[in-house]
Amino acid sequence: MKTMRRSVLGALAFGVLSASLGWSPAAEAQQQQSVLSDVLKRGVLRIATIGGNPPYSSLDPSGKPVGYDIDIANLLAEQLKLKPEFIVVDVPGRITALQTRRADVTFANFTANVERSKVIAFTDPYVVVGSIYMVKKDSPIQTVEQLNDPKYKIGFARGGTAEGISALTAPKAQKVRFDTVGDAYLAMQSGQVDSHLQDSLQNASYMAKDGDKYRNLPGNWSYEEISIGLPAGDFDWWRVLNIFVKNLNGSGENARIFKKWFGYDMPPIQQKF
Amino acid sequence: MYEFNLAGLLPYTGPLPRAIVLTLWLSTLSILLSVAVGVLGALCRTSTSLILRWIGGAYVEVLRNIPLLVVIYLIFFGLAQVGLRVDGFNSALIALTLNAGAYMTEIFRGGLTAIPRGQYEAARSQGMTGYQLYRYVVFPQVFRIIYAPLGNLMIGIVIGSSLASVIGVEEVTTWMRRAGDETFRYMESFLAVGVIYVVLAQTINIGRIVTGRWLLSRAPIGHRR
Repeated sequence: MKTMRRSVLGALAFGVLSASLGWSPAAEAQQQQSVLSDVLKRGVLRIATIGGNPPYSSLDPSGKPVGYDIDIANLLAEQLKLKPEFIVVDVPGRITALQTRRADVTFANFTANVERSKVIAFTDPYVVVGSIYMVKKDSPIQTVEQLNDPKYKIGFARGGTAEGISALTAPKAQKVRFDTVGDAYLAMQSGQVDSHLQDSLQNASYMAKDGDKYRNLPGNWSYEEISIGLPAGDFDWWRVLNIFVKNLNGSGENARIFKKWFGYDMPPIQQKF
Repeated sequence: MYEFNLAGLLPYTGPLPRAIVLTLWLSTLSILLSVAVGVLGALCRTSTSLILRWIGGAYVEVLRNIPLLVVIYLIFFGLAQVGLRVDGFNSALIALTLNAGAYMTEIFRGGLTAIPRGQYEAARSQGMTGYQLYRYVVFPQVFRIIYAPLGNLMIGIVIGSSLASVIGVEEVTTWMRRAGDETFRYMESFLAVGVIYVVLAQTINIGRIVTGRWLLSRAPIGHRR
């Protein structure tokens, strides 16, 4: 009896001490728990996406996200039998949302690269894109070499891959960073920047709509695998998402959704070297 | 779990001094210009001319009721659409000045209406000109009244200048977002910039207190020299 009381006291003391230090075996187990079991328990899949980035993702007049990425995200939620819940973040917020576990996945025209992979994880790609410099039709700029001049301004959305691509391809030009791709496009439209560095597929849909007003500078300046983002260090969750991507690509469902939003056939997802 | 590591930001502190200078420069210019706008606006609002009163009133009510962010967008994107291209820094400066100018107008008007009419009449009866009346009687008293509310607004301007980041002005908030983007230490960059803004706002505030003390010691009411 006495020993038992002592052990109870000991357990209590241990509990108080570990709670005050912010550590407990239970909390540690919870930290290592997979997002997979979290979402299945919750019944809700929290999806981070960005606004102002058509046709990948943008907000309809009622504030609901719509687009290619959104349809794919809904498909994932449907296959997992979960209720989708969208969190609209800005471009850098795609990473923060995963780091802070506010979101379970990111569907947001999100390029997988080594830099980002240090802090979050990616699946295999569901679409592959490049980067293109767009200018106004009457612009004096003909090539990216000409654009590489301190008198010209290049606009793009901050926190994306355009930052590094512009630094490599036109280091001398001025860079103007905006919150969304839409803002950067508007800045080129209104003449506040001379060129907009944009995603090549997005470029194709902009050209389809406003091709009489703009043209592209020759050259494709990046190879970017657009993938689903997830918190780092979660093999179980990655396994599920990667199976989803492989089936999405193989079943032709991806190509169907792509055509719906981009208006033309999907370019092949394959590494060309 | 998110591991907090402030040192992660260190490699990116290079462009920070320039960003701080730009925030201070943008805020200081906005403060000076909006004081000028505020004095003019308040004189309009308290003028005997109905048209001037109406113009002053319309300016205050319109600019005070449009969010600063929207004013920035209107000037940067809107004016450019009609061919008037104002660069990022100047767009932010104009927007901050117009926005803060409306509040300044109200602060100065409050100060002006606090001066009893009898003083105007007394000064006039002493043979003071309009300039002398305002220079020696009205403004020294107004200054004492508006001195404190002015401090609030100045801090508001420093904080409001962070919105210039949406049109690509390379000030402190833009630095914060770029440092976060490059290092992925977002929480650290938010926290660091929070501290920087406290210091910047207080720098401006201390500047106000010092200038205020100096002006008050130089311009005593009446002839108490």
